[in-house]
Parts: sequence; C-alpha cells; structure tokens
Amino acid sequence: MARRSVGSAALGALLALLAALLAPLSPASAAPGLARPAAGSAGFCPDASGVTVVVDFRELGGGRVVRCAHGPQADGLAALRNAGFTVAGTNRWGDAFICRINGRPGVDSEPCVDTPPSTAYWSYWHAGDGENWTYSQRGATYRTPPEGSFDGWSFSLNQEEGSAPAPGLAARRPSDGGGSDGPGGAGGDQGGAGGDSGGPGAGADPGGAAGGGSSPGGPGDAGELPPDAESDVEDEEREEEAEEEPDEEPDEDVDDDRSAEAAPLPTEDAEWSGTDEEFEEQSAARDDSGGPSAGTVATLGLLVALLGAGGLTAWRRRRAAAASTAGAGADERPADER
Amino acid sequence: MTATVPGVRRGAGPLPRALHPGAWWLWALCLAVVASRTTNPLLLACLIAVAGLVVARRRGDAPWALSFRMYLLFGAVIVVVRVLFRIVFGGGGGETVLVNLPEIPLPEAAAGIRLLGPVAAEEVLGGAYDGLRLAAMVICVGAANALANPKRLLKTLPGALHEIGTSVVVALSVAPQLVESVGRVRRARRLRGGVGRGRRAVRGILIPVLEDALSRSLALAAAMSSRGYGRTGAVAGGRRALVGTLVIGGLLGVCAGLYGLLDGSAPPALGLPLLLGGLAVAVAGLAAGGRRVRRTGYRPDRWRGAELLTVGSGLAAALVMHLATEIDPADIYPSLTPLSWPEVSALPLAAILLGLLPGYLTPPPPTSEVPA
Repeated sequence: MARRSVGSAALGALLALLAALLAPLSPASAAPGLARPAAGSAGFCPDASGVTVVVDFRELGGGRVVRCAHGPQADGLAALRNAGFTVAGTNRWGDAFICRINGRPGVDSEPCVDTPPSTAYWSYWHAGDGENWTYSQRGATYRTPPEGSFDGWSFSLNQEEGSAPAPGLAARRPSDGGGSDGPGGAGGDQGGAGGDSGGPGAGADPGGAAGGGSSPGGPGDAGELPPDAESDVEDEEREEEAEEEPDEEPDEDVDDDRSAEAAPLPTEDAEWSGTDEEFEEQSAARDDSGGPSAGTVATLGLLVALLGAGGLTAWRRRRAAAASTAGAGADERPADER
Repeated sequence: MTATVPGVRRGAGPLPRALHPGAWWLWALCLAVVASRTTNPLLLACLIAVAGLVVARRRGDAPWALSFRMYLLFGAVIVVVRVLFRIVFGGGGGETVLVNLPEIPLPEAAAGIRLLGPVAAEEVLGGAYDGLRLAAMVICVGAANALANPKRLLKTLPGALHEIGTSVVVALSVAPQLVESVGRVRRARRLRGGVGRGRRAVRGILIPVLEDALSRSLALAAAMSSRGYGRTGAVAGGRRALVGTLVIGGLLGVCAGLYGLLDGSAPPALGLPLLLGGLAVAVAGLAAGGRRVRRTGYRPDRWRGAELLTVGSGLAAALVMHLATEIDPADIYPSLTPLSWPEVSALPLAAILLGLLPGYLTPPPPTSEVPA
C-alpha cells in the first residue's frame, strides 16, 4: 500500500508542480503577448544598425512580412523575436527548432511536438546587403547575424531536399529608391566588397525575387521571374565561405547618408508588408485572460476524482486481502511482504 | 466472504471470472495509442488515472497483478529524467526564465551544447509533457501486464508457434520459481539457526537455489519429453522453412505497421496497410503451420460479451481520439510559446473516459484469498 500511495503521490506532486509552475506565469505570459507587436519596426531597417528580417508566408497562403530588429542581435532567433514576430519552437527541442512563426503553420497541420518533417518546415536564410540569399548551415540559435545584414525565413512546403525556396525579396535596403530601378552597379559593388561570398547575380536582378522561389500565385511576382534554380544549389555549396559575411563594414557609411532622405516604407503594398495583419487579427480575437479556463478546472476535478477512486479501491482491496490472509492462518505464509 | 471487489455485491453482478487476456491487451494497446496522440498533460494524467482505476478494480491476486505500481514508479522516473535532462542540457531555452543556474562554459567545439544556464519554464514543461506521454504509454502496457494472465495468454497462441510458446512458458515460470526458491532456502536456514550475514550467507543461499533450479529444470524437461514435446513430427524441411518465413516475415510486418500506426509523423503507407498486410501473411503462415500440430485445449478462454465490450471500449477510445485530432487539434497539442494553461475539449476527454468502461461493466476477477 505504501508504494501504491507513493505512486499516486508522485503523480499528485507532478500535477502540483505543473500548477505551481503555471500559476505565476500566466499573467507574465499574457503580458509579452500584448507587448510583442511593439518590438522592432515595420519595413526594412533604415540603416546598417539592426537586422532586417524577411518572413515569407507565401507557401502558407500569406504574403511577405518585412520587419527590422534594431541594434545588434545575439542570434537569429533573437532577431526574429526582436523584429516583432511571435515564434514557437517544438516541444522536444524548445526554441532551437523554430516550428511556427506568427502562429503558422497552424496546429491542424503541424503539432510542433517533434522536429517538423523536411517537407514542411521554416527554412532559414541570411544575406548581406545586396547579396544573394544563402541557406544557413547553422540553426538560428547558433548563428549571430551581423548588423546591417538580412535574415530570411521561408516556409518550404513539399520541396525536394536542398531546394527550399529562398525568401522572395531581394536582400537590399531600399535606400536607393525602393529597389524599383535596382542599379546593377551598386549591387555589384557591394558584392565585390564581400569577396566571393555573395553572387553578383543578385545585384543584377532588378528589385525582384532573388532565389528560386516557386510561389504559385504569390502577391509579389508581378512580371519578373526568379532566376533559375541552379543558382540555389551553387549557393548552398558555397555557404561555408559565406558564413562570415565580412562585407557589412564597407557599405555602412555609404548607407548612413543615404538613409537620411529615404522613406522607410516604399512600395509596401506590392511585394511585402510591414505588419502581419492576419496574425494581428487572430491575436486580437483571442482573449488573453490568463488563468485556467472552466474546462481545465473541471478536468482537474475529474482527475482528482479518478485518482481518489483508484486509490480508495486499491486500499480497500489490500486491506481485505490482508484481513483474509490473517484470518486464514498466520503460520501459512510468514514474512513474505512485511 | 468479504474479499470480493468493493462496489460489487455478491449475487447482484455477474459471477467472478478472469477475462480473456487478449482482450485486456487490446484494450491497453488502444489506450496507449490514445496516449501517443496527445501531449496535453491533463488528458495524459486522466488516462493514467483511468488505467489505474481499472487495474485497481479488475486485477487478480497473482504476483504479476501487483506489478502495476512498479510501472507507475517507472513512469514517474521517466518524467523526472526528462525534466532533469532539459535542465542540465538546456533544451532550447525559452522566454520565461524560472531560475538562473550558473552556466558551465564549454569549448567552441561543443557549440550547440549548453550545460545548466537559465532554466526556462518552456523547456521544463516541454520535458514534462513529453515524458508524461511516454510514461502514459508505459503505464498502459503495465496495466495490460497487471490485468492479463500471461500463462493463459500463451495458451491462446496458435499451434504454429507451439515451440516458441513452450519455451516462453518455461522462461516465464523461472522468475517466480526463483523467488519462491530463495524464500524457501532462507526459511530453512533460519530454522536451522543459520544467522550468518554478508558473503557467507549469500553463498549459503545461492548454491541451494541454483541446485534447486537445475533439478527443477531437469524434472520439467523429463516431464515435457515424456508428454511428447519437442518432436518435429513427419513434416518436410522445405515446408517448415516456408512456414517459418511466412510467420516471421508477417510478424515483422505487423511490428513495423504498429510502429507506423503509433508514430503520428510516420508516412501513412507505413501504418495500416503494412499492419494488415503483415497480419495476412502471418495468419497464412500460422494456418499452414498449425495444421501439423494437433492440440486440444483444457477449459479454453472464450470471447464473450465482456471481452468484446473491453476491446470495443478500447477501440472506441482510439477512434474518438483520432476523430478529435482531425476536428480540433489545438487542445491536443497545447502550445508552450506563449505559455498557457492546457485546455481540454470534450471529445478527447470522452475518448479517455470510454476506456473506463471495462472497470465497471465486466465481471469482477476471481480472488484467490478464499479460505478453504
């Protein structure tokens, strides 16, 4: 009986721990949920201090969202959070494996318990200013994006291994007129300063989708098609060299004086937006009251009733068994259990 | 007689009898499937409580029936170990930091591994949820072990697995025999006044026990060979190889199919089709092999209403749970970012409560502590 009660006591202790853990947290967890939209700013970073985060929801039926995380960022995950995105990891790996951005993909298609499958996951890209997107060889928590660089997140749905679509926006700060005319010379210069890491082909691509995005009916592909898919493969082979990205120093001073007169949100409607309206509506509709709901409390009550019934039955059976063996004869089975 | 199951008045309910062990196993495996499909701690705790209540009401008095508390302890160990691993190796971190433990610095080569450091509620809860799921599955298997009589289960083995069944029966009866043997030798020592402790006492117990085990095995072997066990009969070698291949291949298919069915992320082709295919092959093999073994059964276990009800409740629980994952998956996999209380919707809870039915609607188990 002692062990049985140890078992149920362990269960009870576990639940108490759960409750104790969650009770002080629920108001705290509601607060960042409300405060989070204030983090970062909409649109590209105006200057080279900060990391521009591009999230491409097109494979999930959304658009592209561009936000800026100001100041130096510790890692890619911090940049994503500080830019104002809501991130959910997996139960198994925590935030080390990013499973949802702004609540997508939804629970109906991805439980986010274990590592998401290679047919539906968020791919992580990075690029210097004016460079091609590079598929990151490191996880977002183990890579520090340099200031002034770009972090890209693109959902890869039903793609062959190694052909995840790059974020469908050129990684270039729009300080030279929104990237609409996209002078190839400027992009080439910056690519040249970065050594062999970034392909100059990105600079030559006029203001459109760099990388092999194969988006069906995305809002952005108004005429210009992405370059061929082979460039992706080459990029991935060159990624080890590209990791360091030594090129943000030279163009920092160039950008600083340009950004003074550049508007922060040019051509927002056409290719991207600064806020994720769909997600904002969803989170506004959800009531963050904190504390357990009535259903949760009722289930806890049911659980206690079940545990009590089980414990009581086991106790009564044991007592009856002990009484009957004692009655049947004490000399029959000495000192077996006692 | 007072030692019947509480809640069932004598003469009012059905006569006490042990259910078919296969029914308990199927019920428990269905509950394990339910457990594998959720990480909601409330649902999992309810499932464990349901399994525990059914065991408390319907277990027998045999030694294996008392093993359930070991499974409960084992489940608790699983959860604790998972959480400890998350704390020590920093399972991904989170935003809600509970405690800031001093982080042990590691060389650059070990990038990606963190020792101690800040403990976030997300990682602790993630570990607990994950561990609780595995613990619930283990406890379901423990419930089957406590409820089903393994010897009667072996009796229902098909004829083609006759030899395997025989060896399993022998192996199964070794452990209880050893325990009983140790008790007997110790009692005899005490009666003789042997009070030695330590190594000498162990030697004094071990050698008689081993000798006892050997002589018992020889006696068992002699008894079995005198009853005709182990004869191969007049069956051609090629046919035996074919039967063996069919049975083994089919059972492997069944195992892989069960794995596919239990693992929610496995491709769907690996689940039910492989399970059914493997089952068909295995049944064909068993039917072909069973023809050469003629057996008669003494008091065979029959599938009656209570057995069907037990299996049906398990299957219904699994089906309703499957339906719930299709309709409303949000509460079945509670979110950890942002942290929130696990919500429970009616459908999965109903699935779990369906598993409770055998605890109340089946006949009570026969109790052995009836005095002569």
